[in-house]
Order: sequence, then structure tokens, then C-alpha cells
Amino acid sequence: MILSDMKLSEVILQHYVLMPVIRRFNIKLGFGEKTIKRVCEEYNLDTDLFLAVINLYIQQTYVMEHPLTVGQVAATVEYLQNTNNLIMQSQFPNVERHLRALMSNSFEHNKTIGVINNFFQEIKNELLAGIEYDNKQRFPYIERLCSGEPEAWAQKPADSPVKEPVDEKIFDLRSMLMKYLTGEADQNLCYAVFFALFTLENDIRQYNKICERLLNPAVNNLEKNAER
Amino acid sequence: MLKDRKIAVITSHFLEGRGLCSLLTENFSGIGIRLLASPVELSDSESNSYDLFLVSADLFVLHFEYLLPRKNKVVVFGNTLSAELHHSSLPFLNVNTSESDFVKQIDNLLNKSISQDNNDGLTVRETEVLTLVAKGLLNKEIADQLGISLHTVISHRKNIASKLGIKTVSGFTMYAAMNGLISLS
Repeated sequence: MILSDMKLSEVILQHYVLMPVIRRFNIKLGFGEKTIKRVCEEYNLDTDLFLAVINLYIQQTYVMEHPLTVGQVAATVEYLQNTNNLIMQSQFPNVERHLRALMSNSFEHNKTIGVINNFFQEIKNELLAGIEYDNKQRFPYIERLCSGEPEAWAQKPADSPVKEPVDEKIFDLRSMLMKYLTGEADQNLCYAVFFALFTLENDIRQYNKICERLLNPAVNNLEKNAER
Repeated sequence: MLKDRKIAVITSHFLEGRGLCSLLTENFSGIGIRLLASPVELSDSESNSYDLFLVSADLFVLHFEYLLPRKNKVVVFGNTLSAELHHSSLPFLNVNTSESDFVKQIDNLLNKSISQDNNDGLTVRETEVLTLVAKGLLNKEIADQLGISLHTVISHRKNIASKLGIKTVSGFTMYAAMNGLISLS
């Protein structure tokens, strides 16, 4: 378990998967020997929320002791928005850049790479629909709840349009790439696609976990209080 | 290595069929060859006893629903024109070539297809179910089409998912597309 008096640099050297997390909290590299508490103060971040997010990332069974406060709910929404923005601005282009290079570099027109590309586009569109739902309906609704707007709970949006878990679809896509790729393909680019998909899958899983374990219980509480 | 293997040559063109059969007999001793005008002539149990189906491109298109579940045993042959029209991941033998080159191609394909597992350990029935799931059919529709119970369809699906380590319905479609069981268009 990671605590507030630990050095941020040591924690990250040990758990490199946390690199994207600090990026989403907008923490820049160069934090020297500072403790987590110190870094959070400098960046005006809620230390308890920061610790909850990183502990949830590295430990499947982590449970936060106290439910999120209203301020923490707003900060969590901001973190999730940053996650979505990074998925759209850097992770999608990253996978696509490698896939494009893979398609144009393969010796002859490689059918299986085309199939991988088609399914990636399908998954991407589905994720974009989910992100749009979050940005346009779910997050504004949560913001209204947080600001104590009267009757906000009555405008609860319908459930998300995403049907099958997207992280599992990416898992399937990744295993197709690994098991059934045929013909000539640049192996370096294949690795790049594989790892980019793996990172995306992992980030989406974490995103969902933050929603399930931290955000949704707090939102349910806010709704109950508002209805009273 | 090829001894005691059984090969079915399937073409509606008798001259082509006779030619291919004698070419095989001359070059690969000890293999059993049967010439058929259509794969439908074979019963299920007969069909399973063959190690390889050499199918002409036109008959492949006509009977692909029968042949795809056995795809690891199928090799399609035809001329350059049909090679260009051939949109599947199955091996293709182009007949517009020299005799020695053609025999070499057959030799490579025979060795390859015989050493391969049959569809990652899926049975013919499981491959049929997988293909229909990938095409978007509902369990009930699959049961009707294959003449099996709903319960059997569900148990096939569970087995396929666990054999292939697939988690989602999209994964079935991905598998089928990657392995040429369906074409994406």
C-alpha cells in the first residue's frame, strides 16, 4: 500500500504502470526527492484521492476507507476527463500510426493486418461513443449533483450505450494479433501495436474500476441525499 | 511422410480431375486418391477420413459453407484469373505454371496442411457454430439452422470460448475473420 510520506519517484520506479496516472493528474517530471504529500500540495491535488487512485491501480483489492467528498467527486471527474482526452489525443493516434505503418510496410497486402485494423476502428468508435456519453451526459449530471442544483437527480441520464466490456474486446484483439497473424509483417511494429493495445486495455480497465469503486458509490450517496 | 494419406480431388471438370489425379499418383506414391464431382457426395464420416481436399475454385465458391469448417484440410486450385478472385486465407494453387513448379507447390502444401492442427482443436461442429455466431446469428437461429438444440449451441459456444481463450462475441467474429471463416466487406 502506498502512503503519503513515501517518495513519489521511488513509488513510480517500482510501479512504472503509474507513469500515465501522474500524467493524467498533470504532474510533470522532475519532482526530485519530494514525498507524495508535498507533490500533491504543489499541484493543488487532493492527497487522499491521489493515493486512492494509485493504490487502486496497483492493487486489485484496494478499498478506500471513507467515501469520496463532494470536492473529491469533482476532482475524480476531472481526472477521468483527462484520461478520456489522452485516449483520444495520444493513445488512438499511437495505435493507428503503428497500424498504418504496419499495413504499408508489409510485403504484400496482408489480410490479417487489415482485419486487426478493421476491428480496432470498430472498438475505437465504440469507445468514442462511450466518451461522448460521459462528456455530454454523465459528467455534466454529476457536476450538477455536486453543485447542489435542486432537482438535479431527476435528470439522471439513461445508461451508457456501451454493451460489451471494451477492455475485453481489446484483450481479444490483442490475442488475435498474437495468435493468428499470417504472412509477412514487421515484427517491431507488431510489438508496438501490441503494447499500445495493452496499455489502452489496462487504462480502460482502471477507468472502469475508478467508476465502480470510487465514483459510483459517491454519486449514489449524493442522489440519495438530494432526494431527501 | 505422405504415405497412407487420403486425398479427395473435387472438380466438375473430368479432364482436369483425371490430370490432377495422375499427376498426384506419379509424384506421391502410396497416397489414396478419390475423384469427386462435388463434396456433397461424401457422407460426414467419409469426409472426416480424408486428410486433404483439393477443390477447384468454382466448386469452392459453391460449397464454401461445407468446406470452411474443414478449412485446414482444404487447398483450392485454379488459373490466374480465379486466383485474383480468390478472397479467402486458404492456400491457393495456381495451375498456370510449369509442371515441376506445380508439383513443388503441391508438395509444400501437403506437408504444411498435414502438420497443422485441425482448426486449433475445434471440432467441425464447433467451427460451424463459431462461423454462424460470427455472422451475427442468434443462438436460436443457429440451433434451427444446424438442427441441434439451443442447449447444445450454448454448450458449443462455451467450449469454443474456453478452447480459444475468447472473452467477447466480437472476439468470435475477429477469430473467424482472421482465419478466413468469414470475409469482412
